[in-house]
Amino acid sequence: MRLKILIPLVLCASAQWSAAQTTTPSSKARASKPATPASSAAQKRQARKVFVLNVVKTAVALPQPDPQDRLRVLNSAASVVAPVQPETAKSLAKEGARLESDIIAGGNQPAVSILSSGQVDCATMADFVDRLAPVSLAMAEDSLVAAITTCPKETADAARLKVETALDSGSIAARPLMALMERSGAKSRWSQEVFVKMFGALPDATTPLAKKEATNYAAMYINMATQVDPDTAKEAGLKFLDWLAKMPPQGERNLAVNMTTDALKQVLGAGYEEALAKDVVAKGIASTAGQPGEVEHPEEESVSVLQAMDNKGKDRTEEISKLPSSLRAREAAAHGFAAGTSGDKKLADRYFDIAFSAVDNVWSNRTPENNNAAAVVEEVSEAAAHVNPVAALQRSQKLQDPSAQAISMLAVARVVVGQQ
Amino acid sequence: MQQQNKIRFGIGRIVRLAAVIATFALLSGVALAQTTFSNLDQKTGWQSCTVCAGAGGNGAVASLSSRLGVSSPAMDGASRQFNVGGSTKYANALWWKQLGANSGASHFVYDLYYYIKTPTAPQALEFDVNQSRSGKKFIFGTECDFGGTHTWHVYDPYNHHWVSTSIACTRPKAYTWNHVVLEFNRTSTGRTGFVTVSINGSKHYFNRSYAPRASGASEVNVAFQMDMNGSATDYSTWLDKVKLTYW
Repeated sequence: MRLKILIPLVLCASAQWSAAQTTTPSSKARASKPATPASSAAQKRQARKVFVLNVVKTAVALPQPDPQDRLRVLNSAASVVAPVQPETAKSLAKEGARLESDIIAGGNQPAVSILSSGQVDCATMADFVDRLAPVSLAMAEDSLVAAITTCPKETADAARLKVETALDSGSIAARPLMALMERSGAKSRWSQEVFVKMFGALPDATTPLAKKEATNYAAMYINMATQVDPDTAKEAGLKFLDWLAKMPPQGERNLAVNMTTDALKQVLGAGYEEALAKDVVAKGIASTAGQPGEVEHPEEESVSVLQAMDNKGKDRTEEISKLPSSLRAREAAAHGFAAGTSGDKKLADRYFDIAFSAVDNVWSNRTPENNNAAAVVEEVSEAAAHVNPVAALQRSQKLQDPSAQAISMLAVARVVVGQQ
Repeated sequence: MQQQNKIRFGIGRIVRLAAVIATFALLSGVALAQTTFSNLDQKTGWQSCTVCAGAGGNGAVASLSSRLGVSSPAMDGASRQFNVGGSTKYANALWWKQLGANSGASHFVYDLYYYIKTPTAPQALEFDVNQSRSGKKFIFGTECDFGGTHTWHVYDPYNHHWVSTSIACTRPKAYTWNHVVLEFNRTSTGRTGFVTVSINGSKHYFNRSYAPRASGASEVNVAFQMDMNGSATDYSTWLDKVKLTYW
């Protein structure tokens, strides 16, 4: 019912805003009573505000059955509406924080962390940490680090308890641990005890988790090795090298070996070789130190908007239509932006037809493993909004899935908020 | 089996890479003579200042330092660590690396990774490319304003002020690498053009341009600035795989 009222409101706001956009100083209105530039600017600002508020309300009211999509929408809506109506942003962020907590409790990693958005207050952060079960920590690393670093006074004590409980049951949350150790100080009793516990409870070295975390463990080792007594540093260092020896050869392992052997040499000095002589496994892996290593960053699909701008005037729709859907959406959007902002609205429309159609494909084929669909929706919608926000909003509302519609509409509203 | 998987994975990546290169070549339509400066974080010759980094080039004093060849954190085994500190709130520290002059370049892609342990400490982080040519200075200045508007800002060189965009700039994830790619151009009308920013693979369009300011210099450089917050919290940022491509 709400939606039925809101959609016409958005279209009405679009029409008003569109009129405000196209009114020129030479329009008829000037002949009778000229509007001052200041009032015209104020009128445009007001029209933009109404447009944005209506779009946000409509997007939030659309059904998002998947909680991850709902979280994305709330996160985006809170940040879009913040400069226009801060109290609404706060309320959306609060709902988002609660949902983020529920997703984690359900054993899933949130698609985005609204706790990192800057819109969530410390009381909500503290509530989030209180509700967090230690068993879910692996899914909550980003959220927990955001809470610890943003509101340390309100969250650090509770967070310490959670990560320590998790550690006692063999689960290491490396990044929250590092944040808490930094907060407590490397010399604190808590940090020193946790350091010993951690290197005695490393996970299976052959898992993807190990690959992801190896350099974080090494970073923690480097930070703490000179702060604990040399025997403790030696024992933890050898355990860690033994663990690294079980990892398949890869860049992350090389980096961690380099980092750990450097730190061990620094702590033990002449005793380094002697310590290794007593642990043949550690000695073997330490002998590989010096090999090049690199942290693997998730593959990012990207298109060059600069190159699309160099192509303006040329019709590339045929080549673009042959690309895989996600790349097709981004490339068509870049070309649509280039054509539209250089004045060729007709060609821009053709590119955006391709882009939005590809967005529907991307959205319907998304999987939990390959889930950049929301980023594609935003990228395409933003590009279109820079050319013509009203037309972009209409395209958003024609997307097949309501969640994609909401994400797209919010991306359009974000561009309108930023217009000068 | 593991070896086979590795080979298959490797072939998969090569095929994907070839597809991307083919697409790139197909869509660019022209042979582009690009110049790339890679691993700038590992180069010597970075210069710095603190007072110059403030408003009007006359800001507060911060203590600053940088160190190259840092093994942890590092993506490729060696990053550059930048430190800012002191007791003056909202003081800033700026570092830049001169890359020689090129008056013909009009398209710039600044690509880097940064790592931070205390995302609440910075008021803002700034990433710039500067080009001076033919009596004009094009300051492609961008900053992620974590502490204030939570948006990206772009710099209006002619009017000497920052302009807020609506592109969200949330505090970065702590203890992890964040990837930033910025696209700039000198527009056909001779303006300082801000095209896009990509943050960990999510691209947003700036779509802004401003008039350049006057300058007698002839140079291209990249810059990085760390702004302190209202509590003057000391902090460090690590940069790795810093790259500038222009054509």
